[in-house]
Amino acid sequence: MIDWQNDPDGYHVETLTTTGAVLAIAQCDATGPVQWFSRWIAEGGHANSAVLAIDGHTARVIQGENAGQGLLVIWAMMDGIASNELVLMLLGGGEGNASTPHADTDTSTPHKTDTDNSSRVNDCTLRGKATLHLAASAALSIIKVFRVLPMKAKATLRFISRGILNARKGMRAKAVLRFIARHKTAQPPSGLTMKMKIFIDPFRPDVIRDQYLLIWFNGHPNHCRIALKIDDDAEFQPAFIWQNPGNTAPAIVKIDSAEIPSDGQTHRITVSVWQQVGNQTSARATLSDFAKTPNIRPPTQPEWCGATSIRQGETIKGKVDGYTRTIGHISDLTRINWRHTGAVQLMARIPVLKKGNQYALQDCIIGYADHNETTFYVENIGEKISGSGGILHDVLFGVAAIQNGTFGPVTWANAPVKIREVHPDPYTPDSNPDAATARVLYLDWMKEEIGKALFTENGWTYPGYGSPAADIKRRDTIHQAIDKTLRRIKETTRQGGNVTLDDLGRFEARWNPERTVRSVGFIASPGFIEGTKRGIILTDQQAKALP
Amino acid sequence: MTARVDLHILTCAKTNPDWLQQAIASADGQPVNLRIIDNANCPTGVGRTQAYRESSAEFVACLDDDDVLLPDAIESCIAALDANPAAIGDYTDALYIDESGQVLGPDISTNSGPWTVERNLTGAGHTEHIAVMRRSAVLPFLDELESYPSMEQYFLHGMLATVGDWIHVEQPGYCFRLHPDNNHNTIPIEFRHATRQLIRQRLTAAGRVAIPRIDVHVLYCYEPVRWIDDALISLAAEPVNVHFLKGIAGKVGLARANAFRLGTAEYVAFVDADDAVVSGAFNAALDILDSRPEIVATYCDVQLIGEPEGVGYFKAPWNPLAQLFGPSEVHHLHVMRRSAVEPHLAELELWDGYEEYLLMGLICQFGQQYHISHPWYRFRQHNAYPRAGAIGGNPMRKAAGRRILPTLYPLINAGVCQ
Repeated sequence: MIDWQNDPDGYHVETLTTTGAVLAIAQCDATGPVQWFSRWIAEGGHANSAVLAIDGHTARVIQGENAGQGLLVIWAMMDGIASNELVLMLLGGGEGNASTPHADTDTSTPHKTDTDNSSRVNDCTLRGKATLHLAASAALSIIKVFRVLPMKAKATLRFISRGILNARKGMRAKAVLRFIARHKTAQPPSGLTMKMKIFIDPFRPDVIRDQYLLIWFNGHPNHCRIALKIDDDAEFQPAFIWQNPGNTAPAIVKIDSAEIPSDGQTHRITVSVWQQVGNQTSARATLSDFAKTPNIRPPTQPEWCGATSIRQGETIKGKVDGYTRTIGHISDLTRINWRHTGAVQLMARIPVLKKGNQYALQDCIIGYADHNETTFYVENIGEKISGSGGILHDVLFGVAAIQNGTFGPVTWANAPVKIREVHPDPYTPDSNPDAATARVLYLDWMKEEIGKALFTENGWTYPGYGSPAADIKRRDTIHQAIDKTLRRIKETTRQGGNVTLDDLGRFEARWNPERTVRSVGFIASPGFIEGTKRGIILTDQQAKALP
Repeated sequence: MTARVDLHILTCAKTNPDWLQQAIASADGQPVNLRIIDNANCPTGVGRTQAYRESSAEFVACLDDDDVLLPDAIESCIAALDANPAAIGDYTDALYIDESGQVLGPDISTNSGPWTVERNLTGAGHTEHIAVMRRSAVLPFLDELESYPSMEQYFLHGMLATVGDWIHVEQPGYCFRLHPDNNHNTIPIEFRHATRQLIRQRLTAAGRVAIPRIDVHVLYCYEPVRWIDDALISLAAEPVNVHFLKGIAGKVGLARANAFRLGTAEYVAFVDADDAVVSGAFNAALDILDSRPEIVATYCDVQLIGEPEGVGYFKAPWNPLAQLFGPSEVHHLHVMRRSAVEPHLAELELWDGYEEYLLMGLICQFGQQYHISHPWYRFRQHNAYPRAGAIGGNPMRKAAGRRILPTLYPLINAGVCQ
């Protein structure tokens, strides 16, 4: 058993100060000879940031040169058996050290720490002459057993040989591995944690879809017993499913039978886990948690609902542009009455036209009414049906109570109301004020128009089939001039430039903020903008002169 | 009184007559029954409640005495509601104007795109200008509305969202006048927070938003109100219960332990009152914690507020050695299992510094930490007041390291890491 002089449970923290300073002192309570070992886990500091100065059963941790942050782990060997470990956490901040976090690499392998060169021997092959006066001893000691399954261990093998080499010969030795396992008492599983999972129907908060208990702990579920207790009921050992077998992470166990009553009350769930291997039984690890199911309040429901048709809807047709079109409709009107002391939500169950001319019933909200209202007039339900044949359909109306921010069950009227479907989309003439003059012009047609205008202005005859070659050449020259104008704009813009055409606007290349994508923009000139606004052709100068 | 919308304007002692005239003129030609109510010396909620109670039209709306309606705003709102009988109200976009009436630019509170219920969690202005509501939907909430001295519209709009949907009419319909003294934001931050929390609770009860699974506390002590408000707003639409508490100067461990005890959610977390989170931060943490029971807590990378994107603290995957030696390594937006935190609260109370470092170490006895490689946390770097992390100096640093060393060393020794 070893421990720190001033920190009995094996852990100590110290701040680096000056080179050579004693940072901590470890002591061993053994009576026989002791060998000290250490390893360095770096967090910025090099491997010699702290070294051991051995004095029999005492080891002093001395600060090395340019020391940095890290963990120094030390242990001792007595009769081939390793002691417990001590951990020293060294923090940067003092003088004479080089605490540079994140700047070093891990040197966590065991290394020599004192003058005894037998403390670590690497694998090697010796060659030489020898007479067989050979005495050998070896010790393999488990120095660390991790608390995970399957069991893993690290060991250091010390091999010492003494003899006289008279001839070159390969040297061989047999080693006998003696495995000493101390049989201790079974321990309760560590890291026990639990979580009660309750899944509630999002649309019906009073309905629990599923509930189960998840627990996890460090241990093998097949070597453990699990007991469950709800409130003060009797404890029982439930069936469980191991969720992650073959995994060295904490075992996750699902218990489906861990149900708490659906009464809106908070319940205590207590789970206990203990190891049961052979006839060994560990103490229990026990944990409690609290969970509750939704508080189910009896929903209120309106006492009665009735609906009366007051007026049927009608699709109106008329002549537009010489065609018979649907130009509107008169909406239907239905009165809904109910009996209830609170506010209500009004609902309608409507046959809605779907694909394939099939009708499907659809519930929709048509309004809300306050606690002191008992009548509601709903209009234009026929438009929702969406059919165009003017057929009468059954529509059911109902009301649901509004209570505590939620809606109760719907009380539907005793009988449906017949409502005629009306065409929902009346024809609407184009509302564009320029409808009489607006045109869509494409490049080819524009070239033709420009060409014809120029031919007319010059008294030429616009060419057709069989026209003289001279006229055809004139026409083609005009078209080419337009093409070349457009091409020059594009050529200049693609190279990142811009083209400003007075009285028309500017074409320009633009880049996105990351300078990865080039795009084109057009900014209309003042004359173009103002002229378009006023419906006349204006130059920029004329536009500026306008009041 | 034949129009379909009852519109009211509340006036008070501070009402500017010129602006009031502009507000009245802007309603001219709109299909509204306009009513001017003298609400001097009364809380705003009282005036609004009176206006709504005494209305008789199908729809109701309100206009501030210093703002202006834009043409066609009301018609567009009515048309949208007629086309959607199930909707309880709608709202337009707005423009900012200065005191002289000059347009400054769009009010981006409403954002673009359809309404979502989260909009009613995040801010008062998000469904407010101009909002037209069905009178029948408003009436059930008037008793509560009356008790609101301010933020009454935010409250009412949130309540309406518990029973139905809003519609966003994507056209400017309102001019919101900004004032140099910013008198729209003089409401105490505690009141703003309480209103936000009430709306979340009601929306949760109505099944409109998911039940929060994380109790997040925000301790404030020296922070300017603007920073605190930014932190709280960043949390408003997150799936969390926010516990907003006054810190205890010099006793950060005690304050934090008290805060962790609040609520019953499965997970706990905290956000500093001068920082903020990015939308989606908590869902990212829940994704990890739900799928991996061996993870006891998550943390993330950090983006510095006011710095270009990518400037902050970006960390390596978690390993216990780095956690042991770096008090700021496992840091920022911890989302922790409550079951792992609660056993340590009594001890946490005793630590006036390094309490976060200590807690992060102690909970590792229940599982591993997990680093989410994304800057979900926005950290404000400043020297406005002493930070809690500086309290205690090296002696407390050593003591905290000594306390968590027995927990972390076995993990280091076993090679456990992310």
